[in-house]
Amino acid sequence: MAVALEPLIAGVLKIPIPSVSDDLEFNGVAEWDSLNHVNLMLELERVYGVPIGDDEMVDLISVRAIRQFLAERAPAGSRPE
Amino acid sequence: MMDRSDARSLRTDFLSHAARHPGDVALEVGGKSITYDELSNRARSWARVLVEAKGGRLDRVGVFAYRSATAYAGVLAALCSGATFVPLNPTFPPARTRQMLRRAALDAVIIDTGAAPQLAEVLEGDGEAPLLLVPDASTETPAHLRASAIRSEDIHRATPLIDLPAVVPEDLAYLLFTSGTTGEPKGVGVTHGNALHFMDVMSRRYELTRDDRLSQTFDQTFDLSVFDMFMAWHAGAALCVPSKIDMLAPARFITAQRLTLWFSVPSVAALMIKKSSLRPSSMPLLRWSLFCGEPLPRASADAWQAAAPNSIVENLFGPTELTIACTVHRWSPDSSRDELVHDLVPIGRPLDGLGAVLVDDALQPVAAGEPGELCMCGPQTVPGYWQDAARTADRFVQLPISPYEQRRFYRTGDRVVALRDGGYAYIGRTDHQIKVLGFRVELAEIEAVLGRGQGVLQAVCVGWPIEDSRATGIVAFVGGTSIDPPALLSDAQARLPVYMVPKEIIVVDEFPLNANGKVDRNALVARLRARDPATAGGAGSV
Repeated sequence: MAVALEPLIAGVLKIPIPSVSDDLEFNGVAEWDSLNHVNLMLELERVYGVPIGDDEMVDLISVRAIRQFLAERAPAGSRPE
Repeated sequence: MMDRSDARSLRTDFLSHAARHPGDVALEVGGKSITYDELSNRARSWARVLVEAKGGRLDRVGVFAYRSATAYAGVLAALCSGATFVPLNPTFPPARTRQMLRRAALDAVIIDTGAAPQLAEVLEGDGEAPLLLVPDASTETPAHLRASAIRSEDIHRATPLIDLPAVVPEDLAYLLFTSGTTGEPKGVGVTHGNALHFMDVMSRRYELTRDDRLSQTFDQTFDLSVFDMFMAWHAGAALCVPSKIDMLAPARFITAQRLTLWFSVPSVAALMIKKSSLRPSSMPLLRWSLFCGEPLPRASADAWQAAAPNSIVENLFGPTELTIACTVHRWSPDSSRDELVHDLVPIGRPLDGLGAVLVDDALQPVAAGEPGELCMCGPQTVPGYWQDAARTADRFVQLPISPYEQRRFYRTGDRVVALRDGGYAYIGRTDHQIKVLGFRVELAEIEAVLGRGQGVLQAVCVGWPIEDSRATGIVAFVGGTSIDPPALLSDAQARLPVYMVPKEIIVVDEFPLNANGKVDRNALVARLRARDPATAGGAGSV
């Protein structure tokens, strides 16, 4: 079952789901700091089954970038809706 | 009258390297390499503009910039104009920057493109604005501040200043603001003499050369950045500045920049371990791996040593008041094991030329082997707090301890215990100061800010959650009537840097008290530990 992206990000960052827009970026809210960025990457790896290396860590710094990355790289069955 | 004939100062070694090896790279920032020649020309030209506009030597120059070429040229320009540099941070709330700016009474501020949009707000309500130097010609200065701004044609037409205003060792090289207990940041002024003692001791220790490439992970408002800049420039080495994004993947930056010296807070290593990005032998070029700013867990030292097998791992320790760092421990996986306290790497021995004693609450020396508050004296002890004689008298004291009767000690507020090798191990604080991801935080300052909120009678903050014995955030407990936590939070966000803003505000009917009738902070932490058992890890010195 595919997991929706917004509640996952909201859950890791502990922010309301409606504040997770495509334009939300690393450091755009206080909760998306370097510590939570690592937590977010680990959660994306776990839930969507896609490895995230250092090169991706520095690219996946907006909700939009994360969404595109998962659409291209996550195994078909686990991609977010 | 002080003899103002120029002495060696923090700018001297940079400028002499620029004269000898102008083509060497001094700075890597924002994808650009800047040579010693370019950087010194920029600094000297801006110094000329400032000195001519002021009609002589300046006292204090703010550098309102973040990880840009202007941030580094600005520091050197301030020193070349004979002034103390005062770092200001555009990632802080403008209200806090305004407090610092007012307290520092600046003659001039050098501003980069990223900080410029905050200019109107941070200068709001001030009588006469300081001189404003905005080097980027395309950056607009707000209309009402234009009278104070140096015209960009004048900046770009200026030639390097050759006869620099004289600096003496007693002059302040930099003025930094750290968290203060009264709800306002407190200033610590560090002299050229203080800083040069540190640089000279560390230069002998690390023997850096023109071939070295140093990291610059610390914000300039954190005094450890002074190590990065001036250790690099004293040796003629390159200073390599990661962006905030680069800091998300430090190993990638270390490899891409071919760094030979890494210096950061231990939290960076802990994050890399968490993400499994600290792989064995992945950073073979590093010669030195240095950590400072918070306790270094053994597991982090071990993992880093394995990832950088050709480097020597060292743990540095020291408050701003003792100039960057005052003790150091060389990590050795074999010899250090029996010196671990709470599984933390020792803070080590005092640097050459510094004296240390451990005292009890009555400032009497403790018995051998007993823990006590670390007090240190020597050429790195700063003159005191900026325009605050009372607080200076409280923390800078004379101790009736032989052979130090005539010396001025700084009380660090850190509880340590002496080890057999003459070094020390860190145990905890004697007060309510904590470190959050390496940043020094007086909980009382946050409590003072929250205490001004509507309906708040009392606010008590604790470090939480605790990971690897270190706080990664702050939780506030508040008591009073009709308290509005979201309003308190947004007020805190407007006044405090991000790392000081509570992650959570919990309203309580009454506070648990200890036997002395004081709020029992340990009981508050115990509540959080019971609520979040998964994040309770480690004893921690909160």
